[in-house]
Amino acid sequence: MDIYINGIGNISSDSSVHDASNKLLAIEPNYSDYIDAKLIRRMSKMVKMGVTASLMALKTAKQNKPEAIIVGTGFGCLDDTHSFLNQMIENKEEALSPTPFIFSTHNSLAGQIALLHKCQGYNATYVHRNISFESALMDAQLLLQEQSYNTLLVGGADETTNTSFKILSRLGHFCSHPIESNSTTNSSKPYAGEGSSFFVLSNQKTETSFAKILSIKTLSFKTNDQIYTVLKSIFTANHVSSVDLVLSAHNGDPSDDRISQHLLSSFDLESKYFAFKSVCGEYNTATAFALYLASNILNKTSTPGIEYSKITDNKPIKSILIHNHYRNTHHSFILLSAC
Amino acid sequence: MHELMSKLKQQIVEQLNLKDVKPEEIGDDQPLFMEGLGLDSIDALELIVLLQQQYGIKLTRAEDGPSVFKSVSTMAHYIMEHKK
Amino acid sequence: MTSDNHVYIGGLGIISAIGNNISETIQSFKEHRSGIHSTTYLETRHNHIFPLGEVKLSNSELAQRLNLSPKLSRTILLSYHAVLETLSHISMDKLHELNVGFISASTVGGMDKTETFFESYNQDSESGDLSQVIHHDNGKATDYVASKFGIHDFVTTLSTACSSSANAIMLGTRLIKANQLDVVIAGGVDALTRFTLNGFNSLMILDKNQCKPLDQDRQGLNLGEGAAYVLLLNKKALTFLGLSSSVVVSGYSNSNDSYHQTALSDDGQGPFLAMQGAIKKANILPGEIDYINMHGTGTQNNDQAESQAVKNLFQDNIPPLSSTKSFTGHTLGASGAVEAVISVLAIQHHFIPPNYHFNSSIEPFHISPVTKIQENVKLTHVLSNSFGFGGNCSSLIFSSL
Repeated sequence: MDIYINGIGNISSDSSVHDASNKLLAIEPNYSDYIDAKLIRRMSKMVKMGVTASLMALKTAKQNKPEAIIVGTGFGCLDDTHSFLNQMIENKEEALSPTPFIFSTHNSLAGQIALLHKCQGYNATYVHRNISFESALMDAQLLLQEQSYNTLLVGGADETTNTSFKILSRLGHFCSHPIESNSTTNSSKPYAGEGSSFFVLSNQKTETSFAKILSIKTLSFKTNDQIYTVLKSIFTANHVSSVDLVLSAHNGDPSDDRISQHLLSSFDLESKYFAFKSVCGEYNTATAFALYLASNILNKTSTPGIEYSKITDNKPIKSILIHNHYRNTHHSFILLSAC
Repeated sequence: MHELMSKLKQQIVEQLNLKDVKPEEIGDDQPLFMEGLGLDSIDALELIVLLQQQYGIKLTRAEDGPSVFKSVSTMAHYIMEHKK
Repeated sequence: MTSDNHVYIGGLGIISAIGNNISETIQSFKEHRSGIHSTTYLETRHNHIFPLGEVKLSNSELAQRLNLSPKLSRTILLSYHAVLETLSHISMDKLHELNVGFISASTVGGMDKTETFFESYNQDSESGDLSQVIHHDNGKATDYVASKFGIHDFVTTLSTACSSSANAIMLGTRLIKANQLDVVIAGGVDALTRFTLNGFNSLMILDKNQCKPLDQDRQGLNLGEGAAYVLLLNKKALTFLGLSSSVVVSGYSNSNDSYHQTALSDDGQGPFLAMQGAIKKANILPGEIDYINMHGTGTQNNDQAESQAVKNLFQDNIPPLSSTKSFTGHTLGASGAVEAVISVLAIQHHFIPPNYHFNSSIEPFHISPVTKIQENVKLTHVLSNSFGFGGNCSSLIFSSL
């Protein structure tokens, strides 16, 4: 069943100057343009990004309020988690402020969006590492198939904090040296990123439709051959043998990139890919950014800070495959077409 | 008392992260909850933490909150009565 | 010929304060033995202040039993323990020939290890044993367990506070009904941590004594820990694996109360919609529900809102009900699944689990829970409620065919 992307919203890094930074932090708007001051005061960056991106998506879909809300987040509200942990340790478990505890729960973003709109519909949060957003998307697809709702608000959000960056760097996940000459492709480790992207999905095409999702698939603990077979079957099921563009999982890590590259060459797509993480960085819900970018490219609408000619070679793009993985454990494919 | 109330207003703004509110704008007898400053139940819990952290006073029953935290003035009186 | 689109329950696994497995759990109800006591395993300043529903095994005891590393988070150990029981009667070779998913749920994941790590990290950001922090994210336990059991077709983790594992069971059921999977092991886990104990204490909703769900005089909740999973199968898989079952997931619903981040609305709209939705999905009438396993945490707010919702939905025909949290404690992310397993056991073994104790009903509802185990009762439809922070409300119905 086809799913139409009828609204999009995004907050993330873009391709603008990053010299001296070693992280691709989100370019944040003035949140008070979107959210009431009384609510902002409690919100961490992750929740602010998520709420704002969701409002942007609803606006582009010309929708006042969502019917149901599904969110994916790999780490949830890290800042609030750390804040409460800090207090707990420093104050020796006495006189602790409840606000960071309340907001440290992974579903606080989905809950906050529901609260804002008094939305009593289906509400879920997925927290499975780098397929958190894909899981949310698959649940959305299932809900639309079940005809439970006409439209759904689905999104991904993850933040990078100084603490999370420090710890994940110590674990060898991230590049620590500054991004040079605005190029994120010359590192041997991924650059940490963050962001939130939201979408209004429906099984109906509307005047605001950006693109069509034809297929969503996650693969866990599979071999290269199995991954190849699954992608082949996705193409077959959708009566295509190839795509015009791949938004690929390349992130700078040589072994990760070898896997991404191998898949591209298996389908003769080596000349047709763009490494979306070179813009948004590496984070658990980066696929959501890729979906946002894909939606704009297929709809021929611009994405701030990204020159399409470098990605598309000025060729018309009518179909896009998003491929993501991190350390070859969980892969995901999203096949899209223009509509 | 005036000094305490002044200090309290500053602490309330900080504890509750009321970025758009200037401490001196909070009236001594202005209702803190519902109308007035419009605080909610989470703020009430934060004020309990404030009492404990800043004044060493432990409010053990959440139900006492509404009367103690009615206004800056009632808070100040409570602190004066219970401060060790 | 009508095709059988039922989602059967062909296996259960559970570990909680009242038992390390199914038979111990049932025995605890029969002997009216609560698992909520003063702290034994959790190292906390609140040691003798708040009673907890701890699993009666230390990490090293759990690890030894499971032949796993004691360095693993307690979350992983509990999850693995429960899944092992869930699959104990299954031929794994045959299982791997089917399309199998593993859907787990948790609120704080490997926080038991993370909070230890931060004690060092906070002093010096270069210090701290990194092996303690690799378990932090919610997906880690799910991946570890899925990998160990060779489940590769679909893996994910949900986190919707106290309704987390109810939503996992719901998703598993929906995926099977949509013919996307043949089998799903669905449920959840949460280990007790200082983080959650202190978090709930900061909200002032913990009882310093044994909790009193559904009682006028209730003072709050007791935290617990545990893990529980159900083996969901379509008819084809049930037959292929040589199993028989007459219990199915017949109803489910997820709604949002959207009233407050941590409290339910006074009129219990979210809970009402969840229960009503589940009953509608099961294609039955409220009067056909034989037992409600209430969310019943023992907090002023939940029990009042849930009682109001029950009253609104069932009117004067309120079925027998109880909150088993008075036995297990509130197991947070695991509670939906723990109570789902208890609900299914109630159907299979013909009993209604009681409240651990009860004095007087909440005004003005006058709803009295079952206070002594009722045995030899035929239960056809059982409703299980799970309501959490962020307004997440979910209800499941299990039915005997």
